[in-house]
Amino acid sequence: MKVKVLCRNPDDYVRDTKKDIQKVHRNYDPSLHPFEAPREYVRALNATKLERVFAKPFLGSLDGHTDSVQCMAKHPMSLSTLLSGSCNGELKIWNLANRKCSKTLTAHTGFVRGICVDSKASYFLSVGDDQTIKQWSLPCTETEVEDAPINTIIGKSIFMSIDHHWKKPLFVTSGQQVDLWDINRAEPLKSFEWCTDSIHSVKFNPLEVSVFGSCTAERNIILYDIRANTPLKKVVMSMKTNTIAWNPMESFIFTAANEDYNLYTFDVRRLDQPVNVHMDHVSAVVDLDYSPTGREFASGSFDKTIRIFEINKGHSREVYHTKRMQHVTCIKWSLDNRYILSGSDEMNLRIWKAKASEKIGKLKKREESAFRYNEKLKEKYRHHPQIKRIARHRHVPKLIYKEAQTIRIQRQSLKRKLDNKRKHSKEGTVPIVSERKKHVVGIVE
Amino acid sequence: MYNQGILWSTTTDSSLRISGSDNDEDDVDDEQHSKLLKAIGSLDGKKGKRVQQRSEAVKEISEFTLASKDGKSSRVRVHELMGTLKSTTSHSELKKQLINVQRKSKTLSASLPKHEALKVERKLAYENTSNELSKWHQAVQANRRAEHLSFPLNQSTTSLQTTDTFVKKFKPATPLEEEIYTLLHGSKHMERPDKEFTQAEEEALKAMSLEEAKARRAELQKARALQSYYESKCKRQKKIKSKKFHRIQKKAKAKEDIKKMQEVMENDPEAANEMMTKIDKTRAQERVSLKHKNTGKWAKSTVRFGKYNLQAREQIQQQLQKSRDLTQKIAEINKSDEEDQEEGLEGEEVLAPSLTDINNPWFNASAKNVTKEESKTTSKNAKDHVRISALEAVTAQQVDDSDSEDDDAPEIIRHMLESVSNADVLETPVDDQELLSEGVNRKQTLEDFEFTGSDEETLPEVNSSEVTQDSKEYSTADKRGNIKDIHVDPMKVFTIKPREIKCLEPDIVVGDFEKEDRPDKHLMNIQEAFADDDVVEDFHQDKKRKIDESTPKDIDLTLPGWGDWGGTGVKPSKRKKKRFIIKAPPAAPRLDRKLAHVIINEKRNKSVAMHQVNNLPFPFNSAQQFESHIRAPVGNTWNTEAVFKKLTKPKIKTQMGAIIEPLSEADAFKDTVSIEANNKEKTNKMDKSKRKKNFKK
Repeated sequence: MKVKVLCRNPDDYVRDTKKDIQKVHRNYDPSLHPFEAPREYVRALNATKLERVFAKPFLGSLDGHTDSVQCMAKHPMSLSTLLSGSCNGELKIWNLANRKCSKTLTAHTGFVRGICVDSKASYFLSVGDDQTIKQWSLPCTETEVEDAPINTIIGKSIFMSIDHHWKKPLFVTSGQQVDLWDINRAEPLKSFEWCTDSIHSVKFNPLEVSVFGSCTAERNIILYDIRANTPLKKVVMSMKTNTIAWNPMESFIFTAANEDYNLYTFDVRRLDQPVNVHMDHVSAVVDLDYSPTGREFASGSFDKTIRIFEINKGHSREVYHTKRMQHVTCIKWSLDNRYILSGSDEMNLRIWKAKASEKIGKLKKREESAFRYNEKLKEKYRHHPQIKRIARHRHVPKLIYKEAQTIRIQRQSLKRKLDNKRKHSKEGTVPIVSERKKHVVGIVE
Repeated sequence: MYNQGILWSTTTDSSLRISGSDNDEDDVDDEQHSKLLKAIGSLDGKKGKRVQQRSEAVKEISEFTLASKDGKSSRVRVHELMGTLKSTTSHSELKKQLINVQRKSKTLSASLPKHEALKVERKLAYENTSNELSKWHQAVQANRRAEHLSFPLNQSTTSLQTTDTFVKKFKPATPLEEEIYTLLHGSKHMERPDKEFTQAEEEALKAMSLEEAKARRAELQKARALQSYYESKCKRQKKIKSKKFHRIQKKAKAKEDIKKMQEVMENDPEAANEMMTKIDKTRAQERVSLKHKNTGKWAKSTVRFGKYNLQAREQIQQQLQKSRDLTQKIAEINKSDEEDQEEGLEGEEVLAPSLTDINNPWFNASAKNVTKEESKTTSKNAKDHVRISALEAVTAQQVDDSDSEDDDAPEIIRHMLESVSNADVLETPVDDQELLSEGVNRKQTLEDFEFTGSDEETLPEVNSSEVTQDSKEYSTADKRGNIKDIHVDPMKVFTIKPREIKCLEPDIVVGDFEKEDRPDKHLMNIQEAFADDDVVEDFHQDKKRKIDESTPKDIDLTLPGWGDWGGTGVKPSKRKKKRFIIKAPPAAPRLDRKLAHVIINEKRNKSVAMHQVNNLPFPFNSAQQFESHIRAPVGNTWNTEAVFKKLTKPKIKTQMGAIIEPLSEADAFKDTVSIEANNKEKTNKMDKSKRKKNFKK
């Protein structure tokens, strides 16, 4: 005789079809699921560990240049296209999807100093050490690019850098002075002069499109407006600034990569001190680029590493390096916020993941929700010492590790010295200067 | 020159005064004194009046007599000249020119040096630009503060069209559609969304008298309700894909058919007769044909190959059974039913011993009683089960048939006929039912379960009081008694209140044996099983030790023999005790002081501390805040799916392969633009209204 004890209606738990979601009946009574916090803590710990396990940011390298890579430019319309110029005047157009060079152009004699692409992606411009600006056509398929430039402008002096206006057919070049050009004219529309030394970088603001900034060899950052006849303002730093990058989501914020190993984020409206100082590099910072979300930026340095900083944090959240990568000369953050592209001295371009442990490719719903949950847990328990320790731990080359140590010791000794000085001198004679104010020498109006 | 002369004279005077003492020079002295005073007076302030030089009269008094007295304002002002012109009417050209001259007479200041001018220009340009940049401030702040951002920012929202929106937008295009549309929308019989009746129905109601109308209305309501119920039921049932459900439904339908047939039998003998003939026909056909015999191709093959295949054999058996059923005469069926029932009983008996296994020490005592009872009931059952209601048996078999094969209507009818023909068997005596209920004690209604449940609940309370008493006795006895004889007393347990677990399922196990007095043998067994394992007492001692360890102790600093007599048996004096024994502060109340069955370790645990946060993290203001933040779980173990999704929503979401463009002006100034547009509209309206008013005037 069969004794039935429990009676369940199969309709409650059996799916009608295979594609239906599983019916799961849960009792959310908290007394049935005790130890919430400890259980979630363990999950968070596991999530952080897994994140470190899966942190494999390096995706691949693009080799083909026969000299060190000097500059790069993103295609504004296509994620898979990248342009790069090298020190022997070679210009390459890459297809990132199949990691192959689709076109090689011998653009200049000597360095290719800068490349920029039109906002509508109809043409691109390059400047080189041969005192020329060259305009090239940029058709939809990269292989159709003609070998000869559409237009060549011969200048009076070397052009160090070039950048294109975000909306209009205008571009600026820098060298001995900053020139504003119209794409249809052979003579510059305007020239801005405020210093005697060379200007090695210009960048247009992506939001307030008429504003642009430049860096000079005499430690200055100069701001311009194409509508005005004169430059706007000059910030004098304690050391030379290599380049600046504008935040694509915040019109008045830009970050400067400095020779003194630091990056400085400035607000245009208050230039007397930076909003934030980003430290961690152990050598001069050469290039940086903002993520298109405007929340982070990546910086490449002479110390052969790439670091990723959050805009409101003083220290990097990530450091990328490989054994073979030499001094990083240029860096770009891809427009879909997924990848970082870097060019370096040893003739290679490299593709990195912006999030080291991210799974590439389409995620299933459950995977996605699990990742989100893990992300949330990591964020929730980030203050716990073990989780903090594991999440922060990075392996860096010995050279960098040692260098960071020496820098730390130097800083400490300097601080100690100043403290002692302050202790033994009259009150107020040795003032406490904040880190932000230390590095700005002054502003010239 | 003049002043110097005076000074010189004064000095000579003073020298004279010091040196000279001549009286005859007194008068001259007075004069000189007044001179000196004058000279001194002229020393402070203005340096004396200039002697007006004589000048020519021509300069002061010109021939036009326009010069002033002093000759300072010798210039001619234009407005002075104009005064005379005002009166004249002839020189209008000259007047205009003069007025223009007067206006433009302001002179410009000298221009700044070039670098200064550039500086000013730069300053101005910078101010303009920074003002322009500040326009973005609000949008930037909003983005920074946003909890969730989905990039690219200007995504167009795509949504599926609901039927409602489609219906609202729908316009008939083809002639057929138009026709249907007019039919649907023009007719009086259309159901209206917010009203109970259609127009036609309402009209009909109005035409009737009140009572009639009420009755009609009720009828209509009922009909509609029933219809809707039926529709929803059908819809629901149609959706169900469960085979079992449909099987059950089929059975129910079959039963209904039987009932119907019964009615037909009683009311309409002719129809019944027809049915009977039908059944006979099917029986005859079955007998003639080889349809359900084991002579078919399939049956032969399965017999040959399915020697060890239980399922195949079963299938063959089923088929044979079916043929047997179909060919059987109606009257004979009863006997087989009884046999079946008996077989079932045997199966039941097999189960019983496992409960009352002799080898099971836990049930040793109660085993005998149970077996006795069991034997009684089985013997009774053996007799009674023969008389189990025929109807039940019939229906049961019928159900089985319908399970295995697709049942034919005549078959059902035949069964029904059997039951009718054996009507005398159907009636079961009342005393038999009682016996039956004794045999199978299965709980069937929820009330039964509740009843047993409450019984159980009352039991432990009674026990618990006994238990506590026992434990006391035992503990006292234990202190006195020798240690070797330690046995576990099953009565001696912690009296912890049972925690209620909310559960729909009632407890199935009924504690029959609990009510009976516990036999000693049973207890002895438990004692043997847990010999020398006095958990409770151990626990108490452990706790006591822990408490002793945690309480701070007095510090004794007395040195025996110091300033006093030494040696054995000498106790330190009261004074010394008072002075040299430092009393420990009272211990903080322990967390477990009120919990008899718990030891809470209040010491800092190093292995746990490693995982704990030392300092209060930044955004939190108090430890409580942080703790509550940590305590609130995020996972879907504790939260419903919707809440879980909401909690785990990422701060920044990006689309795969989508290019994120910089913040555009359209996005940033969306709100301000809309506000401005509104304002413009308002002003336009105002203007229009004003214009209208003006027009009216």
